[in-house]
Amino acid sequence: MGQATRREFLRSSAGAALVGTAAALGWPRDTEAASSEVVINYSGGDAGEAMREVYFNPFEKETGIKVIFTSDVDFGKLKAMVTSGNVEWDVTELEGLDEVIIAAKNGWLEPLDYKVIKTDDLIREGVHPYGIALAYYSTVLAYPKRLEGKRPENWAQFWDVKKFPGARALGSYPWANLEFAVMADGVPPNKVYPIDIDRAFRSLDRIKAHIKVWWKAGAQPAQMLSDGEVDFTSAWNGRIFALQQKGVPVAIEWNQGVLHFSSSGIPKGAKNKENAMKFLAFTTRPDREAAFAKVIPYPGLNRSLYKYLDPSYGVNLPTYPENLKKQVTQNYDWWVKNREKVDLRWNEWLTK
Amino acid sequence: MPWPLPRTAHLHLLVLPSLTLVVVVFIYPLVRFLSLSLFDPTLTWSHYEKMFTVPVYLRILWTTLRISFAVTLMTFVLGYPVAFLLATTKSSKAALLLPLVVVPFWTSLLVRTYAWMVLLGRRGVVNELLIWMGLISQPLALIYNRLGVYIGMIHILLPFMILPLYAVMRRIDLTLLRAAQNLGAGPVRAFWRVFFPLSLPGVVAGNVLVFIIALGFFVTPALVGGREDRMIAMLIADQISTYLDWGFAAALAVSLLAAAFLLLGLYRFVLLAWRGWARLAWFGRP
Repeated sequence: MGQATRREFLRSSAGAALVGTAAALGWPRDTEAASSEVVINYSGGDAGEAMREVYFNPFEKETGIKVIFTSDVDFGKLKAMVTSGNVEWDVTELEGLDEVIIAAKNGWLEPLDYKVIKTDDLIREGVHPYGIALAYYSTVLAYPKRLEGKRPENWAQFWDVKKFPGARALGSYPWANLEFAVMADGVPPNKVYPIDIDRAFRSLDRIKAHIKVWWKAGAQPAQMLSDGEVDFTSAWNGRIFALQQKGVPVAIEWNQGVLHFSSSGIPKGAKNKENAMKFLAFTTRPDREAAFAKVIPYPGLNRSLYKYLDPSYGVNLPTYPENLKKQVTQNYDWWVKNREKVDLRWNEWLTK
Repeated sequence: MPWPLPRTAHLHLLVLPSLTLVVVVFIYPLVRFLSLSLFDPTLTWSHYEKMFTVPVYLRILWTTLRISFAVTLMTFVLGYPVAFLLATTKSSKAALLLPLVVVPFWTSLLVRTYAWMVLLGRRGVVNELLIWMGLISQPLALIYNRLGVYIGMIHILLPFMILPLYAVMRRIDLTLLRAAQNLGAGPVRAFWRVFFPLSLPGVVAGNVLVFIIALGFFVTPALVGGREDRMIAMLIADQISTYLDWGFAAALAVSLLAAAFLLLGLYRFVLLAWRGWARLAWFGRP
């Protein structure tokens, strides 16, 4: 008798635990609340905190739509969510336009409503039927200020190890490197695409032995420059800017940098699609993008954001008109078409 | 089953929660992975074919196994004396020494890896010191090559070797060593014939643990390795979140698992053979 009671107790409490778990997993979803909220999945950290300040809070105030912020940016997870039919996000970050293109092709994204989102001032390349640029960054040539005058000003000079002696580093990924390689071989920036892959690898063969470090994380080139581990390296501009703000004497050569951007997209079957469109329209306004760029040096795609920024600060950003002119925007269509082939060859080439 | 259950059956029920957990979070995903490697999208050998026909993948698997093996061996050579010292000194001293082994556990792996960059770089502490002492004139290449991978990984994996060794050694009765010496064995012989065989369960546990963890290493070789030091975990992660080629990722993971099982089987075989030779017919503790 005592046993049975305990068993029953155990069973019922296990049942309660199960129901609790089910609720936590979101099964009995409250559909009433759906229209007054929007679930945003963007990178966390400093950027996430800045977003709360300049995007989420003002958006909530203006529209009355509550922003639920998650920070779990993962392309694989988007695929898993849409294919399993359990879509939790209304807006998600996609690491590059290549992911937008692939996701759109596979039907994992909703088309964006450009009647709600205004595109007049936006950088053309950042606007895609299924995605809109979120943050721009560049892979640029970076160097310590002590080498000013003795440092390469373009990739042909970076490749010239006799005229510009010094320890060099490049990223361990093919993207940007292939662009650098063909520019080093004499292809003008506006003729980089379609990339002549054979020519790029022939060019890379010449520099391979002189690359001391093939960096794999964005923090690495910054660290190596400030340690004096290397003299010239490709790097993400934001990391170098962060060093500059800490007073480390390093500099960026914007010339022949390769410009990349992450995007926002709306997962197929998002529960609050309308709110998501409103959110994207709100966050691509120049004043909002400027407020964000002031805190995090990765600007959005609105050209007019520089009207709201002090030029002495704006000049450090990759989409500042002067900097924009000097760079090549990554052609994601080319990369999507050639990525598998190029990556395979790159891995083969690099590990040999 | 009749109710009430026999006493011991009740105790068996206690493993049910952990067993459920293992099945749900380990066995089930493993089975899914295996099926994904064969059925993505329909029954196909293409993922395995790709793995075995494109040379770079086998090269990376081979590199992974070689690095893991070398790291395990070196971790063992470095860790065994430390565990021996911990187990054979007075417990008050051991209490002081043990934290030195455990503290690195509490530091983020990423932080420790970046610390090595600061220490071992061209203008790092080690090179500057050696140059200042006049021992070298040019900085040594201590990092961004295989050596850097070894140093970084050994540092992180040492506690995983030392702790299982220590746990087993602590239970070895040290009077046995004295008895062996009483019977005429020198200290070296007493160690090899008595202490070492008794510590074998710890040796197995430590080596297997370190080897398995080393196989999955990701961050350290990526950050302090050279261009040839690509390990398979990096490749799998790329397939999963960049290329979304889950079938191929699954094939890579299954191959790694199979290779690990094969090597562990071999290891066990060699060990049992050695044990047979040492005339120790027990497994586990004496």
